[in-house]
Amino acid sequence: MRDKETRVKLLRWLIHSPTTYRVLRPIVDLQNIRENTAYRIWVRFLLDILRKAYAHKRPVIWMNSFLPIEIVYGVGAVPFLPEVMASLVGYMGWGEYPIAQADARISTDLCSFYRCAFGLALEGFLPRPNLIISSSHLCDGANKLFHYFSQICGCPHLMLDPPYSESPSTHQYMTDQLKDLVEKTCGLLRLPLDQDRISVVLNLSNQTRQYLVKINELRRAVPSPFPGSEGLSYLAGMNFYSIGSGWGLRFFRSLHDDIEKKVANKKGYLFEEKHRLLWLHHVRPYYKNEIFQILAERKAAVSFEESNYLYWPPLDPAQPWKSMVDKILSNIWAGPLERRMKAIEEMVENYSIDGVIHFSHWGCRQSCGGAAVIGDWLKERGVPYIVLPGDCMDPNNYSPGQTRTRLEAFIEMLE
Amino acid sequence: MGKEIYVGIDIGSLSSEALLLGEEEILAYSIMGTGANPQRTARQCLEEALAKAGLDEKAVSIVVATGYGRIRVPFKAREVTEITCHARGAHFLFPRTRTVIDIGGQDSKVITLDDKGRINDFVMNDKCAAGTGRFLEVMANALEVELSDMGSQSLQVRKGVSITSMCTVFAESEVISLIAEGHRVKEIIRGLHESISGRIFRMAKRLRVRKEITFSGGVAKNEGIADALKILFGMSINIPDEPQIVGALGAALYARDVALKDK
Amino acid sequence: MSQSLAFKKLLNGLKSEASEVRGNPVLGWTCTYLPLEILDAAGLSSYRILPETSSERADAYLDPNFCPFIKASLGKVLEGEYSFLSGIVMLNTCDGMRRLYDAWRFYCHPPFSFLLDLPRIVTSSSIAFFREGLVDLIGKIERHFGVTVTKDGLASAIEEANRTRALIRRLFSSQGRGDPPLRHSDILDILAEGWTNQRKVFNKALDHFLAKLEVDSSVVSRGPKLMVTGSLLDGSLLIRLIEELGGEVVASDLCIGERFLDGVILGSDPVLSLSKAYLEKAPCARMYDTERRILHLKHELDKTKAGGVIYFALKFCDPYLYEAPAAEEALRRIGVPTLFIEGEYTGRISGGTRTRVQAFLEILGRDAG
Repeated sequence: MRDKETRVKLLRWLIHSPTTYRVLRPIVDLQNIRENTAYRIWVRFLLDILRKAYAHKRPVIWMNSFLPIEIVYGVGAVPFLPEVMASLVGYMGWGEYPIAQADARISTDLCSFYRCAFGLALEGFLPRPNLIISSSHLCDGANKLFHYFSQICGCPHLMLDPPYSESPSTHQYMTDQLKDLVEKTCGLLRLPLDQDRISVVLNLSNQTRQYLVKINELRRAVPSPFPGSEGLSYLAGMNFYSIGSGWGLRFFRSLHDDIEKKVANKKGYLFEEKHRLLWLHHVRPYYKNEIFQILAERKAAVSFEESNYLYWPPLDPAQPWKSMVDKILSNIWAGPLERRMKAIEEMVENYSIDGVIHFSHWGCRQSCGGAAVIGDWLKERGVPYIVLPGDCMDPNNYSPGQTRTRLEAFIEMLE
Repeated sequence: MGKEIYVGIDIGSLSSEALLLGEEEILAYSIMGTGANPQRTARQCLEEALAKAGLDEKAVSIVVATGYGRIRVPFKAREVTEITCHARGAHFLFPRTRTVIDIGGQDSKVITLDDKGRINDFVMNDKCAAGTGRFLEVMANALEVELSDMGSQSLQVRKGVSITSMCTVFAESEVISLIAEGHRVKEIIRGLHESISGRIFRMAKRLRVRKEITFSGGVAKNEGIADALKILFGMSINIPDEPQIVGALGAALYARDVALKDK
Repeated sequence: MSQSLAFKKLLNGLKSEASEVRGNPVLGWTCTYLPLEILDAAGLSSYRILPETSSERADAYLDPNFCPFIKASLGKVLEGEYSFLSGIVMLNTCDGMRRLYDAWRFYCHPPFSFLLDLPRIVTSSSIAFFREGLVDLIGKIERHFGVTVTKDGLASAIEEANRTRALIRRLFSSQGRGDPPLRHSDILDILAEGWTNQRKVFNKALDHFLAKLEVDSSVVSRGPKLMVTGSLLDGSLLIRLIEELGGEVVASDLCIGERFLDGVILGSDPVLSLSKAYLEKAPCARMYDTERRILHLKHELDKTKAGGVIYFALKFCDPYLYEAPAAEEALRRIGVPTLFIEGEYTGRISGGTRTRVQAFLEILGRDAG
């Protein structure tokens, strides 16, 4: 018992020390020498942002993933995303401990990402925030939890509350809220509102967006050049975390070049591709699992995933707040289900999809609640569909036998 | 004036107990399976305990019922929850008890007490049978081991095979696969014990656990689990000679209190 | 006869006297943030969607790990039990409700459906925004049902609704003062009658009832005084259980209880008055301002001298489950014992809940001696 406590203390000290990230970088670089350049940029970006967050030379702002991160880059603070951190922890196979800590205080009915993030925050593993900002448009969990984080961490919490519906006054209502939020942020953190920096960030975001557009187009190729499992991990991660920064541009440019080459050589990521699948829901299990291996065995490629659907228009540096509001309001997972359904229809068409998998992650009401409607609607259009219930973060909820049976049966449906 | 007898009856989902308490000491007790008819079992349990003590029902002053089936005991004067009764019984047997861990047939609970032995807080798990007596029964069957041997067997090995399934049914399949893969039965048993104690430990984290801990319920007879809990909580654990009667004892003590108050 | 039965008898008597408003379109609603005054002013009847029992039918149309109240509601729709409704008005109260609204439309095609956008923050902008949503709702009702909603119509609907709220407040104000004339569970049952009956008749019945209300000596309870808060929706069962076990409920911060009883102050713009009043009421956990909610709970505790709180969250109810640790901590800091219950929506109480509540009362009771 004492041994475990000491190990946790040591781990905490290491994690909080900026030197750790400096030391890790060459080691990890070497480890990843055979990976593609984009992946290596992702890892370096992570180490860099974590180092900055723990070093605290600039103010640290925690935010949830669906708030445009350009806001934080724009004001010159260091962004920290507890949700992405939780998925990283899950990826390393360390998710059980923070989840167990959280389960002592909060119901196990709730999303395991949030429980993991909660456990990490309770145990003091996360970099101390100066401010927490969040947006309410995607899910209830984010609202209450980020508010509670601000209590635990002793810092203010500012929340954007985008409307559900489109109406003539929606835009103005949101722009006023956003302007207010940015002003308060700058006031609380004593940061100047630097229009030049904001323009730089928005320009970077737009340039990055261009690559996102091209990548998404390239991935329409048959055979699929880029694996969905990676789309759901570091690609989605960078999508949330890096747009508006130089790292983001380098990453997406590199990834684009890489995929372009593969498409030019007609190289698929699978040895042989018989089926093309669309993965619904932003996430996948991050701990060790066999899902993608099983699909690969059956020659089913995950050609695209909804989390990388590009829903927002380019941002206008001359009207930064208005365009960021546009980005928020065009989110397809907010508002009525029709938005999401329309995007899915496009994806099925554009990526020549043979079958759709909806991964119903434990505790995600906003996504899983629509799984049946989406399924019935797709089936009406002759698109095979399956719901795969599971848990992205808690390996104790992973049932290997059941998962394999479900996936294999689904592929048999396609054959 | 004959001796007054105070009776506590604990009707659990799997087993039932009756305990006769005199003015000073425990007179007798009986334990039997609850079966499908809790009313009949309650009566039979009481009769058996009376027979053991050589006493007549007329001497019974008050009956207090507790446990899952407490509502069904027709001849009770009062019903009190097993939370209150286990706390009371454990504190009576070990006056320095400040935490009670009870693992019964189908549920488990952790109760914390203040320095006067009164309940501070409690947490119950009755969502599923995983980690309870029923769970162990199912596993003992799958492993072809006597339930009463599980404890000693698990202590003969140093480490256990990790069991990841949370649910009784899935854990059973997991155990069967592990046997097929050639793992040692003793290590599997130890793994099961570690899994159960881990659940209790996590449940207890919602409370402020203080020493001394007293372990009650049928599963307390399993020395492997007691040992695993000792390691997790980092302190020694009191185990009553007959851990199954703690609830009935608490109910009988409560009955005595009520009778004395009425006087 | 229990007081709530007496009330029901009185109400039924008055109903048969009053001219029946037949053929009135009925709109179903789920969330108490909807200003019913709008439906009243449009001459529509309103019906609160509160299924009596759970339903698993909806598992295949939503997701099995979902709020049981929402599943029960969809289940009843699928079984055709709400076919008498001419439409539904819902709010984006929570993720579950959003998906219920989608599933209801997709599978059941109600003739009229509207989702009212409910802000989480309360500012002058959000009040203005909510007002616009109300204006939109009014417009759509007018067009679909061929009715006109006038400013005067709204004003008198508000006045009538204020009367309802004032009458119910009188019922609740009888609680916690020793010798209450009726049980808390009776009040909740009486409240429930208001959701499925015409307002004018309900108000008249309440008026008569209050005039004749005497102290009911069977109601005196010397047990621990409790407040209940949370997403409890299946009627007065839990309250009744507490009363049966010897406790006394003196405050219920619930959507089926006394949360929304502040009156609406009528200004020159009735829609704005509604928007302001409804947003500024004591908040539900779904709203952003947790601190304001906790302050309200503390205020109620002070007012009613409740000695303990039961915090009830439906399984999978994200707003209350996520709020629970903050609320429990705040209550613990002011020394108020709290029992947290995660419950089902089934129309009955489980053995586990009974044991927990009983144990809680035993703990509170022993301190009282």
